Amino acid sequence: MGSYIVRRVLQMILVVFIISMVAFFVIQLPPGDFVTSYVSSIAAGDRITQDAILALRQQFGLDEPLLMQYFRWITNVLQGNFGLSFQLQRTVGDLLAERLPLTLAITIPTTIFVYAVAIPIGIYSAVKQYSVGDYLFTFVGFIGLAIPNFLLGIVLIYLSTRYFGGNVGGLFSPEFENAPWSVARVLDMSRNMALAIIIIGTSGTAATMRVMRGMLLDELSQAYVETARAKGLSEWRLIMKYPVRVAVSPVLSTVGFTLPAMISGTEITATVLNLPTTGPLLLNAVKSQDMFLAASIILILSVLTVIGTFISDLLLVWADPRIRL
Amino acid sequence: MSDAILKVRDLKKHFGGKKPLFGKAPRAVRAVDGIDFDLRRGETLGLVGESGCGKTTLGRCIVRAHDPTGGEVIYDDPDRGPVDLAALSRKELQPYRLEVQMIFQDPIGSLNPRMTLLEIIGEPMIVNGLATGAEVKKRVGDLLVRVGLRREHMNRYPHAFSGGQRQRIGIARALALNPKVIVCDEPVSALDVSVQAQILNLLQDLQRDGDLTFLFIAHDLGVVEYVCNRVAVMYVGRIVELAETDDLFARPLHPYSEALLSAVPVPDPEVEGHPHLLQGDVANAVNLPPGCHFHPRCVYCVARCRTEDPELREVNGRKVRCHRAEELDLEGVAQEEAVHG
Amino acid sequence: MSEVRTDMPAEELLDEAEPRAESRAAIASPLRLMWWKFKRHRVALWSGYFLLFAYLVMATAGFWAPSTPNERSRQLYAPPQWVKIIGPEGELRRPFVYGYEMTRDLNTLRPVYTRDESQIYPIELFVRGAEYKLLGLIPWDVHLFGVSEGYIYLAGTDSFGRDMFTRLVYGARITLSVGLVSVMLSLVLGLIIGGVSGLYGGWVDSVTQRVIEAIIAIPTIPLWLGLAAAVPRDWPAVYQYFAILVVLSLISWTSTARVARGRFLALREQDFVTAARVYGAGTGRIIRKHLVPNIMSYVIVTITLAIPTIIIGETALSFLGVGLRAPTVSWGVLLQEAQKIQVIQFYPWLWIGPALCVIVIVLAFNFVGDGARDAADPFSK
Repeated sequence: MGSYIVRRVLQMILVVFIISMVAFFVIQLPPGDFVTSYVSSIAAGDRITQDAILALRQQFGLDEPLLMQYFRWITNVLQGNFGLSFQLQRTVGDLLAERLPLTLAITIPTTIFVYAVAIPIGIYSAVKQYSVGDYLFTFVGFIGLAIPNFLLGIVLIYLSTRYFGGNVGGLFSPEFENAPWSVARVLDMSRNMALAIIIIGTSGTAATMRVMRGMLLDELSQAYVETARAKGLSEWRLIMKYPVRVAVSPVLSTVGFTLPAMISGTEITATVLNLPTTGPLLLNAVKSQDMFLAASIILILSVLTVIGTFISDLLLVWADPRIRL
Repeated sequence: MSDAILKVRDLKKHFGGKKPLFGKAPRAVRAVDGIDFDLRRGETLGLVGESGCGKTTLGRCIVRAHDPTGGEVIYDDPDRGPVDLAALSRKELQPYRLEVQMIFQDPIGSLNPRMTLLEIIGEPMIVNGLATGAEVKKRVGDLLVRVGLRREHMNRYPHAFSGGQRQRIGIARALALNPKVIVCDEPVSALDVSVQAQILNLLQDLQRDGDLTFLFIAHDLGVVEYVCNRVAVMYVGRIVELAETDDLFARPLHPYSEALLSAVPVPDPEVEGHPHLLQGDVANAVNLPPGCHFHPRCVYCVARCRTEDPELREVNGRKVRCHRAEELDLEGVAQEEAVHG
Repeated sequence: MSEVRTDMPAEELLDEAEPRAESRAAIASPLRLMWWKFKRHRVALWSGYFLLFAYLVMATAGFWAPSTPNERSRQLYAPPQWVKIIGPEGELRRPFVYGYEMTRDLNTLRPVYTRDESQIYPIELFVRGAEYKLLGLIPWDVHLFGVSEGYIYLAGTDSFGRDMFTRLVYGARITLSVGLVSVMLSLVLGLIIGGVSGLYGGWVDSVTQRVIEAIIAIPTIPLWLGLAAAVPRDWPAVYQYFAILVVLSLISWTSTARVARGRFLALREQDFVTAARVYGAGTGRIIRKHLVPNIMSYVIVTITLAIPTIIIGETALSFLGVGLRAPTVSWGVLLQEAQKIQVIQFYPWLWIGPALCVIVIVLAFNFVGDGARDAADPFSK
């Protein structure tokens, strides 16, 4: 186990390093540099002297070679200094501290929701293959897979404004927006978050359900299941005890794909539902080419994904001794 | 019959052992570890041993599907004189590709499922510039007939054929270049017993008509006895005994040969079997035991065997790698009526 | 002692030389076998036909649309008209639509449309109308359907009174072609990178694998956003279109590369590849004739499953306002309207149309992908 962890950590560091290069690449991509976009973002009436522009360039190290710039940026990031948001005139670190917790508070429960819902349905679908329930879930699964989650968000907003007169979106309903914390306010917040979780989790649930069904069907056709049945084990105990256990671990190991998808979903759905996660912040940053902010968000989300995947892998190895170290 | 068409000298193939980016270099797997033998013109030399003893690797080194780590494979070309195939670069090797070909074990994996028989058998000719266009078609048709299939089959895909037929296709492909030497890597072990006989007969017919020399890799001694003139027994990358088939079956000189032979079932209820069951596992080719590699499993092992690695040496005109070859009286198998066709 | 029989009867030998499968299957190429197997998957087959039709419509958009995408009218925010065959007196008529009478809600100033039963616009087939270029080349003015008097808005109109049905048909042109071209681009990238990785192995492989892992770990939407931000706002529409294509494929090549690498790794150990090396086929030839054809079925499956992701990607980016932008018409651009809460609430046809189009196309691709996966390799197992 020890050597496995060491190897995985080394691999992870390499992956994070590559991610940081991708993020830096994103910073570099737009034509011109921050100073150009900064200058153009300042009201047209104000004149900026060439000297001031030069001074700004020097201040941000933009006159240095690319490699040096990357090096400077990554050293700063490693010290927790993500740079400055041009548009908002605040440090990126502050902004992240404000927005990131909610992103996680939605993503992590959503991921758990996806597996908690998809695995039982997948088991049911496989065991009762070709039953009405199986067809129903398969149908719902395909639809769920085909509806992008931001569209689902729009549909929800439409339905609630049209037929329930309610107000969807935001973390709080209007009446709680500025109210002091109370039990009712917490309930209101959890109601809004639950909606978000369902919207974001649908497509992931649909996909995972299909995988679980397929894996378990493969397993159910194995000879050892027949043997166990022949020995007179009760059907449910037999299924839960062996094939499900075998089928579930490859399903759980898809977390490396699910987690980034969940974060993606959270970010885009948050802009639809107007939730104060990093999503709307990123979108704004991107639109105004506030690249330090944009790249930092990409970097931090990706690193969190890598760490999340790593933790789930460790749990999986711990739970399933067959996985080779 | 006695001049050698192929001389293998101290052939070695080690896998791995390169130093990775981090940590120590792992020990290399010595799959083939110093092999010497001559392949005589027109003979069938059997190569037997347990799975993982390196016989397939040896075969692949000879046809240069693998690049050997060391040693020589000297091919005696009638026109161009002897040449060391192992030392040639890929480019220099090209003309000699015609001379040495291979037949594979797996009748499914050895044929490209996306090609018709015409493409499969014709490709070697096209690659080597032996024929083009209609000539390819004619030759492929001839080859198909020669291996017992029909001309019309050439537009079909391999999936339309049974295992035995696929093996015939593989043989036709090997023959496409008119080689002198064919390395047969367990050509019948994946087939049903009844089909095995047909393929073996086909190989023997081809050899008789076509001046072919076979290196016949097998683990089924029954098959080996049926088709081979001589047999080389391999154990973890080395030859431990090399003798005429009849001699070896009558009286093996190496304890490992004896053990292998005793595992051959005798289809005679009168004969009482004395299986010398092998103890333990095949030695690990990464971490070989000191002394004779076979000693941990040998029932005749003495002190010397544990420390001193025996050489392959001549005993009564046969070659054997055992310190006690002269003193041991090992048991062979009762000879059936010879059926060599 | 030997188990081999030498006295095989002649008939049996002959029998053995007979191909086991019936002649039809015997001469069928593997791709044809895959097709046969695919055909048995009914839903996938019909989804496939539907997609072919959708791409046909896409290529000849001008013919199917009654109008042109940027033609404005006086009917702003008109809801979809229903096609009727029963007239105001209950009589049977040829298909027609009613005209609208517009009033304004005095509180909100929103237009309110009511059916005007005195105005009946019969639908005609193959009518002459606005000129367009068929396949972008041939000027023509015949439309599949239309009205010679009045107007027809099967999917309503937008804030400029433009016909949504027309805009949906033209939107398909961009959205569907982005999906296809992007996937082709990522296919080429994936095949080359995955192929090199799988064939050369060693450190090249390790580095490629880490890069792929890194890209997979980056949540797609944020990365797409970041890359799309780099596309200058003032670029002409065509440049933007290609830039978005590249942005979308820069991420999706990883799945093709993984599949290609895995298959290449498995294939290069196959005996038929060894055989080709032994008879002297060069590396290029081996790749061309032996490796690539054998991964084609996997590639087909991967790309049918990747196209929906790309389509959703384009839609999402344009919806957020960082992908394609008006005056380009794509389903994502049309969905941008749904950024406004009033549109979601009061003019639902503006977003339900494009949303349904996206969902139906993605659904069809998923079904086809599912069927293709089942049919993928007739030789596996």
